[in-house]
Amino acid sequence: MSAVWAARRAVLALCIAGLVPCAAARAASAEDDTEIAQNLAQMLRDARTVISDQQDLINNPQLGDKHLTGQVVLEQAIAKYQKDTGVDPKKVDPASRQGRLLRAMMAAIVEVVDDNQPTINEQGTGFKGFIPAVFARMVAESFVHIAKGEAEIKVTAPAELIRNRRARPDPWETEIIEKKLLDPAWPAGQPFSATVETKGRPAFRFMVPEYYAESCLACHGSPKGRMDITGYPKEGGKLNDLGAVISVTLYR
Amino acid sequence: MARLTIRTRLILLTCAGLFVLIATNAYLTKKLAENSAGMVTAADLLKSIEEANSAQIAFGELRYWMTDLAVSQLTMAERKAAAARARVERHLDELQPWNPGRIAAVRNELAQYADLSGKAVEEYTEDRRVIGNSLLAQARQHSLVAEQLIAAIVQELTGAAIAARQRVVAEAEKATRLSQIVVAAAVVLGALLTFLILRSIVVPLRHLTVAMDGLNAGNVAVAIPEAGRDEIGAMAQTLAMFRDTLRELRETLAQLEALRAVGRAVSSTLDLERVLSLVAARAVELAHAQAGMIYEFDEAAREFRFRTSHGAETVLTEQLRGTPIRFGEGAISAAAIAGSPAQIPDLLREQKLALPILSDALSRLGYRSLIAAPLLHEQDVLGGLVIARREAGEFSKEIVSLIESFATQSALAVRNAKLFDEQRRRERELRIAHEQLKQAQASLVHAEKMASLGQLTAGIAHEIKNPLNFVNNFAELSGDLLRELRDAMVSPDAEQDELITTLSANLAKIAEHGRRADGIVTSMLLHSRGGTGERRATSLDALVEEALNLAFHGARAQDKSFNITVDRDFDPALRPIELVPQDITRVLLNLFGNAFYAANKRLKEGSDPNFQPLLRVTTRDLGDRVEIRVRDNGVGMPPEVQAKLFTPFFTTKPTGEGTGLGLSISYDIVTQQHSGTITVDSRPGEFTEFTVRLPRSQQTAEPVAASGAAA
Repeated sequence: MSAVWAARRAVLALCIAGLVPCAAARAASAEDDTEIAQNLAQMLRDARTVISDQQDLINNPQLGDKHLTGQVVLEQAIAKYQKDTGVDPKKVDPASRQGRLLRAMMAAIVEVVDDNQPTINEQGTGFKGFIPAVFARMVAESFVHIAKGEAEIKVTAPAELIRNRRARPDPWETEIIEKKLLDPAWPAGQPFSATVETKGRPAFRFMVPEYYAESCLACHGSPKGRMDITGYPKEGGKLNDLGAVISVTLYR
Repeated sequence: MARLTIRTRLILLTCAGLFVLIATNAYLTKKLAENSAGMVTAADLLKSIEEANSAQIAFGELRYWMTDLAVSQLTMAERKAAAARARVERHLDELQPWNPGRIAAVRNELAQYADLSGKAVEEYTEDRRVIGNSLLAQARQHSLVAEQLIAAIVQELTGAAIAARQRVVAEAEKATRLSQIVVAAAVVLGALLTFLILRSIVVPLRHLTVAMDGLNAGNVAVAIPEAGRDEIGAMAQTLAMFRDTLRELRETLAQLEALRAVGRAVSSTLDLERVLSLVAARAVELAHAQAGMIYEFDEAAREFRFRTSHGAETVLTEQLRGTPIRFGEGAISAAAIAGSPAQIPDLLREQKLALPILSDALSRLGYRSLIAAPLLHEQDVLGGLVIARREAGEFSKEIVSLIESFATQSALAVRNAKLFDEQRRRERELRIAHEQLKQAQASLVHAEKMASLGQLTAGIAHEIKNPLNFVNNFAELSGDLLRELRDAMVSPDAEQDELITTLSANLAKIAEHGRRADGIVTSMLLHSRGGTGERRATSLDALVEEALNLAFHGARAQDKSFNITVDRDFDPALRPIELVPQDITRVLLNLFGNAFYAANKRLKEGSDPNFQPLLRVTTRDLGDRVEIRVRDNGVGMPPEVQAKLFTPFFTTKPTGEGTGLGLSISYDIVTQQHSGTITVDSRPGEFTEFTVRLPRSQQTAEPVAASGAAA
C-alpha cells in the first residue's frame, strides 16, 4: 500500500510542478474547478454563518417552532452568497457542472435543516448541539451523498483539532495541512489546490483554510482541557490560529 | 557488692540489660525478617491484585470508550479508548511474571476484542451499521472472556494474599507473645538488679550524707562509714581525712585563739596575776590536762616560787606555795637549764627529774605526768610553766610546742610586769625629786627676795635711825627743859601752867611714838642683820612657857577684858635643843600674839555665843628635830591670805595695830637662822595652826614642804 501511495505522490508532485505534459492542457479546466470549489466552499460557509447567527434562536428553550426551516436557512445563505460573490446561485446553469454542484449543496443545506427540525424546535431545552460545525459536517456529508461521486466536500482540520472522526483528514489533506497551511510563511486565507488522484480517480482538490474568530474561541479557546458547552474539552486555540480547512474534491 | 566499683556495677547492669535487649532483638529480627518475607509476598500479591483490578477497570473503560466511539464518533472517545488499552497492557505487563500463561490468554482475548471493536467503529464511521453491529457483537464475546479471565486472576490472587497475610499475622503474634515474655522477664530481672545496685549505692551515700551533715554542723566526732573498695569507699576515706583535717584545724584554731587571747591579755594589761592565770587556764585546756602551775624565779634566792595555778586543788596549791623549788632541782630546773620543755611521762616511775615531795603530792591527787616549760627572757630565767595531767605518757609534739608558746607569752608577761614595776618606781622617785626641786627653787627665790628686802630695809632703817635719834633726844631734852622751866617759874599762871602741861604731854607723845618708831627701825635692822645671837642648849618647853606668859600678860595689858583658855601639851621627854633663845622667843611671841588676836576677834564678832577662845600649844621631840604646834580657834585665814602670810609688811590688822613684819621676821628666824620649817594650816571661821620644826643640827634641815604652806 505504501508503494502505491508513493507512486501517487510522485504523480501529484509532478502535476503541481507542471512537469507533466497534461498540465497546460488542463489549465482552463483547473480554473473552472477552482471557481466551482470556491463557490461550493463559499456556499457552505454562508449557510454555516446563518446557523451561527441563529444560535440564540435555536437554543431558545421557551420557543417551540422557530420557523427556521431548510428553505429559510437556504434563502439567508443565498443572500449572503450573492452578497459575497455577486452571483445568484439559483441562476447558474443547472446543466453546468457548477450549477449541478451548487444545487446539490443547496439541497444538502435544506435537507440537513429540515431533518433536524425536531431538534431545532425542541421546547424546554436550551443548548441543542446544533452548532455551525456540526451543521457544516452534516451538510458536507449530505452533499457527498447528493453529488453521487462527482464531488466531495469535507470540513476537516489539523489532526489534533479533529473532534469527530468522520472529519479526519485523509493522508493528502494531512500533508497539505502540516506542510502548507500550518507553515507560518503561508499567506493567511490563501487556498491550496492541486489535481490529485483520489480514491483511484483523478480529482481536483481544493483546500480553504479557516481561522479562529472570536466567536470560535468560546468552544475551542482557552483554557485548554476545560469542557465547552458541548461537553468536549477545549483545544486551547488562539485568535487567527488555523482552526479548520474546507476540503473540496472535484472528480474528473 | 561494695567489692565492685560503682562503674563495674553499672556496667554489669547495662550489660545484662543489653544482653536481654540484643537477644530479644535478634529473635525479633529473625522473626521480622521472616515476616517481612511473608509481607513481601503478601505485598506482591496485593500489588498483583491491584494490577489485576486496575487491568479489569482499564478494560472496562476500554469497552466503554469503544462503545462511545461507535456511537459518538468523537476522537476524544477514540483517544480515551487508546489510553485505556495502553493501561490494560501495562497492568498485564506487571502481572506477566506471576503467571505468563494466564496473562497471555488475557492478552489474546483483549487483542481480539480490540481488533473487532475497532473494525466495528470503522464500519460505523462509514455508516455501515449492520456490519458494525456484527463486529461489535463478536468483540463483546471476547470482552466477556477476557473479563472472566481477569476476574479469575483477581480471585486467585486474593486467596493467595489472604493466606500469606494470615501466615504473617500468625508468625507476628507468636513473636509478639515470646517477646512480651522475654521483656517481662527482663523487666523483673532488671528491676531486681537495679534495686540491688541502687541499694548498694544509696545506703552508703546516705551514711556519707549524714556524716557530711554532721561535719557541716561542726561535729568532728561524727562517725564515717567504713570504706569499701568502691567510689563511695574512696569518698568515705576522703571524708574521714577531711574530718581529721577539720579536727586538727579546729584544734589549731583553738590554740591560735588561745594564744591570741593570751597575747591580747599580755599586751593590754599589766595585771600579771590575771595574765598568768589566763595562760595557765588556756594551757590546761588545750593540752587536755587537769592542772597548770606557774612559778616565778627569785634570782636573789635562786629558787622557783609558786605564783598562780589553774585547776589545781587547794591542798596542792598550798603545798606548792610552801615548797619553793631550788634552782637545779626538779623538771622545771631541767627545763630552765636546757631552755626547752622537760617531761615526766610517769610520775610513779620517774626518779631523776621528779622532786619526791611534789611528785608524791601530785601522785596522791591522781596526776600521772607533767611537762615543765621555762619562762625565759633572752638568757634570763624568769620562771616556769608546769602542766600536769592524770594520764601517763609523753605529751604530743603539738602540745609541747603549744606549751612552749604559752611559756613564751608568760615570760613576756612577767618581763612586762617587772619592767612596769621598775618604771613606776622610777617615776615615783622622779616625781619626788621634782617636787623637792620645785620647793628648793621656791625657797631660794624667797630667800633671795628676803635677802634683798632685808638689805633694803637695813639701809632705810639706818638712814631713819639717826634723824629719829635726834627726834627722840630732842624730845627728851625738850621735856627736861620744860620741866626745868616749870621749876624755874615761881608762880606760873593758869594759862602758863596749861601750856606747859600741854607741851609736856605733846613731848611725851613725841617721845612715845619716837620710841615706837625706834622699835620698828630696830626690828627692821634686826631683821636685816640676821641671827647674830649665840646658840645654846635650851629647854624648849621652858622657852615656850615663858613666851606664853609674856604674850598673855602683854595682851591683858592692852585689853583688860582679854581672856583665853591655854591648853598646854608639852612633850615631857623633850630634850634640850641648841637654838638662839631670844630669836625663838620672838617667833613664839609673834605666833601667840597672832593667835590671841584671831581668837579675840572671833569672840568680838559674836557670831557664836558659845564661843570660847582657845589656844593649844604642843611640843614634840621628833628625834633629830623638835616640833612646836600653835593652834587657835580664831577667825582663820583664806588660802589667798595664807599665800602671802610670810611676805614682809603684809598684815590683815588695822593700821597701827600691826607692822606686817612679825611673821616675816619669824619665817627668817626659823628657816634662815635655824634651818627649820614653819608651815600654816587654817580654815576660815574654824582654826589656824602653825607648825614649827627645828632641826637639832643645821645639817639635818629639811626643805620647806607642807600642805597649806605659804612662802
